[in-house]
Amino acid sequence: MVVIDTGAGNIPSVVNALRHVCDDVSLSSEVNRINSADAVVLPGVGSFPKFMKNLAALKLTDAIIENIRGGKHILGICVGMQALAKASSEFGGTHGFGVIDSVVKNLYELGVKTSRIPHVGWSGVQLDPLSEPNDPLMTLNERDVYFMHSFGFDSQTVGAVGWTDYEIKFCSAVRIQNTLGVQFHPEKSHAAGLDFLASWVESTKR
Amino acid sequence: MKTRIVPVLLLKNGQLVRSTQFGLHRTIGDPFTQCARFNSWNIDEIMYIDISGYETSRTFWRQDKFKLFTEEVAEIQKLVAAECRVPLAWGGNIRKYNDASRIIGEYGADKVIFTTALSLCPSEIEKTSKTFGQQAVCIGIDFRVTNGQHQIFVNSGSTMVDSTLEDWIRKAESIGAGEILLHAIDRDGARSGYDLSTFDLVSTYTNLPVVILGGAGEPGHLVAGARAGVSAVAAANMWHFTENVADVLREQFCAEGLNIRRL
Repeated sequence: MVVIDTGAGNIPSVVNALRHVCDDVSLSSEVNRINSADAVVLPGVGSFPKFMKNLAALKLTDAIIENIRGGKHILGICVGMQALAKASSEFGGTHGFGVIDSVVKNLYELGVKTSRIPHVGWSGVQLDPLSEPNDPLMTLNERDVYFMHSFGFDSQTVGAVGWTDYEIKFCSAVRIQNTLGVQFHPEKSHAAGLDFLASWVESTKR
Repeated sequence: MKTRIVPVLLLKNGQLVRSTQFGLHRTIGDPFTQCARFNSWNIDEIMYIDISGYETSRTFWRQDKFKLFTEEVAEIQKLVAAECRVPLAWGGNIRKYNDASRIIGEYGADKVIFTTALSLCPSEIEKTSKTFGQQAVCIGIDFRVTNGQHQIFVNSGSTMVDSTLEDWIRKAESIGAGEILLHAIDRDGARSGYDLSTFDLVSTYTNLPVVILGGAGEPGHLVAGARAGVSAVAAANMWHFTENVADVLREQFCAEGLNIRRL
């Protein structure tokens, strides 16, 4: 299991949490290590433009896109999920990986009018009724996880497999091949988050 | 939105303290056991605030006989962040982007709380917000209310800022704040309930999430805060001196029909 060291965000807390549920966790920003890993976690707290800039500086952008398209098990967290989009409107607009044909927008742009933004706090994830019973997201049934974001995908996003209500409904989990993107922070969601991560680690071995 | 219930751990010279009016501090233990305890309670979020004065914070003294294995704030930050499985905010003596970057990027905290920095070096806050996102930046506002007027203080409540509350919040918003921590100095340790009228006022100025701190002495105070619509109800002393406080609060919130997090 390789956690991509993007150089921005709370990467240590992702590594700490993963080590609770998986023996073999390493942190790397080397293309070869990422290419040869069975499963990869792309964590991201931070701003979208800074995140993409860091990946570009590390020459990782193309490698990650190839890994996604090649069917690798990848978990994108928060901005790591948003990066799957064509672009984000944060700070004027930045291109993402473009594997999801959608633009990440501010929650106000998505229709939030009265709620406080950033959306910080504990909310549930509504699952696709057709989800497999062993889908990692099923561990979150009737539980809350921690969100901390101002931007997100709209509810109609292609590949959406989880949704969250915050005045509006937005897409809080998305799946493209074996890549799962989640808007919430499993590494900060205590028992629910660790159960989710354990189940995801298990799913990468199937 | 579910109101977050947040314990605040006040740290002075490497030790956990209880506080009254930003002045009277008594050591009550070490910062690690408390973090582990709150963590096992599955708390919504933990805030640490280092209240050692900025100038003296580099020279550590102690008055008790217990020996901690470290007194270095950086070391404490690192160990606490590694232990903490819930969202962690760190405040106090954070003035530089490099401090924030170390705490978030190296140790794994989620948020930093800037207080005095908004007065001294707002560009450092802006840089933090641009790098880590606005959700990683909380602005602490320490205030007193005198004759109905809000006065804002920095430097551990010792220096008054020449600004209205509204302007101060506008300034925080303009440099990329993602949350406001309203800390009522007069109510610190007073157990008289939160200053909710200030919260109401602040809500007319900003749509950012607002955390209130200062005055909570019993579960009813936190319930009142949640009813008023704050994003998070924070308390310090109460968390140390109330039996089974996490369960008591959850039960009380449920009994009052308030929407709280499902574990």
